[in-house]
Amino acid sequence: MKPETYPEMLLEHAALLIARRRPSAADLRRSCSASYYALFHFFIGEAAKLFPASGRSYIRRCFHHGEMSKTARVFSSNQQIVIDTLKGPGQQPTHLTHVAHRQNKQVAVAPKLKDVARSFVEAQELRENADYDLAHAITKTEADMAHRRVIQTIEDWKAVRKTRAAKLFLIACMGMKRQGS
Amino acid sequence: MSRKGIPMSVEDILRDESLSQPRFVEQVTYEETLDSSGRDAVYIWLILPDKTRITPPQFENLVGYSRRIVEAFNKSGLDIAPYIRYARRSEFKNKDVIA
Repeated sequence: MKPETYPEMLLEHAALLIARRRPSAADLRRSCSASYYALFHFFIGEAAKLFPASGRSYIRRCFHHGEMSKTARVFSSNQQIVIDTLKGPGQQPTHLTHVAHRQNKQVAVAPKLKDVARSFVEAQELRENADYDLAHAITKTEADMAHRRVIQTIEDWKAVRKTRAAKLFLIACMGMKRQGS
Repeated sequence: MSRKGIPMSVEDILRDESLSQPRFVEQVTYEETLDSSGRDAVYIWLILPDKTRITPPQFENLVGYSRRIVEAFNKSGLDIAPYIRYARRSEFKNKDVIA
C-alpha cells in the first residue's frame, strides 16, 4: 500500500534502506534516523489534532527533540504523573497548569503509554548515535528492530490515544522553553 | 532495589531469572557509557545467533524481554539509564569496525 502520511513515507524509506542487499553503514544510520523521525512527526501530527485547524501550523513548530525526550522519560518511568513535575527548570508550567485546573493534579499512566514513551526515548537515543556518534556502531539487526518498534509503538498509541494521560503527554511534549520564555 | 535497600549491580539485574530471557537470545552483555544527554547509561546488548529470523513471535518476545530489563533497572535504585541494543553474533563481533 502506498504511504499517505509523512510518517508512513519515512517508515517506508527506513525499510527500503535496511532491505538493500548489502546495506552500508550509512544506510543503517539513515534508516534509524528515518524511523525515529517517523515517530517524531507522528506525535506532532497527533498533538496538532487537539487544536483547531487554523492553529496547527503554529503548533507543529512548538516541538523540540529535547523537550519531547524529557517528557517521554518522565512518562516512561512513572505510573502517576504529577503535573507540576513537568515544568521546566525554574519555570511555571503555564500550559500545564491549565490542564491541572481542569483535571486532577495526578494522572495515571497506563502501562502501554509507558511503553510508548519508553520507545520514543530509545528511538531518539539510537537516532542520536546513528546521526552523530560514529564511535558507536549501528547493526542491521537494531536498525530492523528500531523500524519494527516504531510501527508497533504507533499501533500501541492508538490503544491509549484517547486517555487523559496520552493527551497530557502530547501537550507536555510541546516546547516548554517557549512557553516559559 | 535489593531487600536491604542497597542498589543492585548491572550484573545482578541481568542475572535475575524473573526476566525470563528468551531461548533464542544467545548472550546478554553490556557496556557502560554516557547517553546523548550526558547521563550515565548502560547499553545492554541482546545477541542473537546469525541464523535467527525475527518473525512476529520473536519480535514480541524480544520487546517483552527488553521491557522487563528496563523495568528492572527502573526499580533497582541504580541511577543509570538502560538502553537495549540488538545484534546478531557476527555483527556484534565486528561492531567496532562497522561505524
